[in-house]
Amino acid sequence: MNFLDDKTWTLLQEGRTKGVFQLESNLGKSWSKKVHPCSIEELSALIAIIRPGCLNAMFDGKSMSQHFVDRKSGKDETKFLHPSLEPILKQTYGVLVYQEQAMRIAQELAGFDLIEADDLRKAIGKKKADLMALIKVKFIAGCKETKIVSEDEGAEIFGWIEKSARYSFNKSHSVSYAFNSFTSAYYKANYPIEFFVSYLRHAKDSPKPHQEVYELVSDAKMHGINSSMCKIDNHVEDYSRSGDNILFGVKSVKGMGNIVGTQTCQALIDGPAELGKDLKKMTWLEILLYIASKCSKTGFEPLCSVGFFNTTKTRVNRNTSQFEYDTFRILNKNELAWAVEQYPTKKWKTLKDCLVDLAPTKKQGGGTNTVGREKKLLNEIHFLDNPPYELVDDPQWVVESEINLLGCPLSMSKLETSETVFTSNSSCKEIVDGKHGKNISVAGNVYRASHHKTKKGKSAGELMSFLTIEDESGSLESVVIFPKVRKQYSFLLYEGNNLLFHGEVKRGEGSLLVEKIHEI
Amino acid sequence: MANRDIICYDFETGGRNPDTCQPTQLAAIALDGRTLRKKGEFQSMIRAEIDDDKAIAAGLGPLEEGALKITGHTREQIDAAPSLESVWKRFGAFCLKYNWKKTPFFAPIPCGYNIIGYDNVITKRLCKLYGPWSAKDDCPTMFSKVFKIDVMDMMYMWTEADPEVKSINMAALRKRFGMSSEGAHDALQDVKDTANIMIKMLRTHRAVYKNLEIDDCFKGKDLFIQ
Repeated sequence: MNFLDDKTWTLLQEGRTKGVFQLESNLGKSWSKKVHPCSIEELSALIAIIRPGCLNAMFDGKSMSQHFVDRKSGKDETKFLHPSLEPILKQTYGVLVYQEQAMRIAQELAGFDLIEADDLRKAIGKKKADLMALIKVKFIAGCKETKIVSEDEGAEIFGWIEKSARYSFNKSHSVSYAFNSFTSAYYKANYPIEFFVSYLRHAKDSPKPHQEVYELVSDAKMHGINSSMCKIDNHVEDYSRSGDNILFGVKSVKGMGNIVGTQTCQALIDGPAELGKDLKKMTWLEILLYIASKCSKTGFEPLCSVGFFNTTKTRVNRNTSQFEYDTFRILNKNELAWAVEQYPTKKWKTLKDCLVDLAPTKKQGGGTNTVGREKKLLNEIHFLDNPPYELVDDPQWVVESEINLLGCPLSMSKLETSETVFTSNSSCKEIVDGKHGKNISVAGNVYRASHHKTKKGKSAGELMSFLTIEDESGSLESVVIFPKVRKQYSFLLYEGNNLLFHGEVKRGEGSLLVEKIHEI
Repeated sequence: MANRDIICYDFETGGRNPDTCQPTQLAAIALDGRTLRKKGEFQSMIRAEIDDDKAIAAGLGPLEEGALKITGHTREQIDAAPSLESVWKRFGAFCLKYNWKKTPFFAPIPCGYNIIGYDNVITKRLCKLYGPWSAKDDCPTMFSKVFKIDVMDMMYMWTEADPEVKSINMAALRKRFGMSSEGAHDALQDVKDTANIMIKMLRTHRAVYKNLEIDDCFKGKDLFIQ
């Protein structure tokens, strides 16, 4: 692996860190952009400063993490409590990020040996106040002896170390994490499809599997990688690579866990073998007779809903396949056996043709045993001729089914289900890629909405909102609605709504500050 | 709150007692819970027992001539329709389409005119017979078990203080809303009219709610009832 790989560092600096070890949260993404790491050393510091202790440790009105960023970017001057600390804290811009730095200070300024310095680390790490008090005495005495700093300065420096106990992190951990972060970022930057496929395959192990799938697919889209559901004629078992895109497999569908999914995959092998025909050439009726009959309802019905059987050969849409599968399931074992036995000679084209021959009783030359069964099948034939509801694939239903069964919409974005004509001048991806300025308008579906009370300013105590929106180009995680604007549009700010936002994106910030909202 | 879809539905029946009457037609309109946009439509005639003696023996109400006259359906038409069980199963599949998470919590909200006293009673009876039914909760699972929108109650709430309103039956509502009465008592037309009235009133509710001042309205003030 090349640790100087530009693609990897660019990915980290742009905060495209979904799936990158330690940096995949929104916090990790935004601080990656702020810190702009260029080396493992800086990556390690980034990982250390986005820990809660450092983010919450306030000094001179801002967090230690912010001090680090402002000093690194040159916005603030790098200051040291004492010139003697410069060699130790130079790499972290005067911020005491690591416990190891405290140990070195103790060694250099107070003449601690390694064991004593390690005691200090333990006291910091485990926040032992009694041990800290003992070490403080020893530290000041040591400073007096080495004479690098005065006693008063020594006390001040120790007080500073004591405060750092709230946030400083173990450097050996941080550097190890940084190597792991770089490794995952390297694969994401250089082998993106394999990276996403691999992460998707493990999404089921995450606490919220569907949310993970949603975020990974959305992120893949931002990298120019599209995802689609496999069809029966190109089916795969699990998430796979297909050219430059990602293919969702049979087992990617909700409910197709190991046993059910394996049974369905086996049926996709056994069915064509029994019929003696290539799976790609099977008609919809053949799929019902030879494959559906070998699957459980939970192993077949969801595939209808995600369009798995909708190919140029079968020409059956999602709702029709689901409806006809419901009809097919009414057949009992004997009737199914009769249909399978008769199929090679009768070669029915549709399920209705099959049922018309099957419905009469055996005495009448059909396949049912009783008049009651005959009546039941005649009922079903009636429904095949006159479905009680339209069997069209409404775009909104398609999107909702895909979100429910796959974790995210694949056929189209939720925004595309909007029937309103609207004009926007930007896409989510363009804003993420750096588009900025006033009068930005972007249309998006609200994927996530969180509302928080403001702590400062004129509107303290009032609610403001943070949205993640998405369109066909990808997602924008930072849409900010301040209290004054929020008051006007609070009724529109719910997850799943399609909205057109107008506002401003400030250079280098990537956040859309919303001024107006229209429902679309 | 509006994260469930709404199924506006209506039975035409051969009698007036919801505990025993035989449904002869079922129609429904599925609406998006947020936008109130139409998402789907269901319509089917239902076969009923046309032999009165057999119906009574089965514990069902015989088809009443008056009821048939209102709906305009003949006994022959009813006898040729698909069975109640098969229609009910298809209706269950239709409703499930609009339960987007396929869990009881997200089941669609039933809506209709006088559904609490009539259609929901029939629904409960049919779900018990043919499903979907939760033995644990002792209720059907095709609809939300908590929420229901009865347009009759909705209209009562809006009009009860208006001395000029004499009736809020469907015929009176059609007249007041300027709707045609053509096709009245056809289940699908009835359900469309009910859905239109409900959408109009729900949109009004939403507009009024934005200006409603109920937060802490009793704080430091007298309650109406002490």
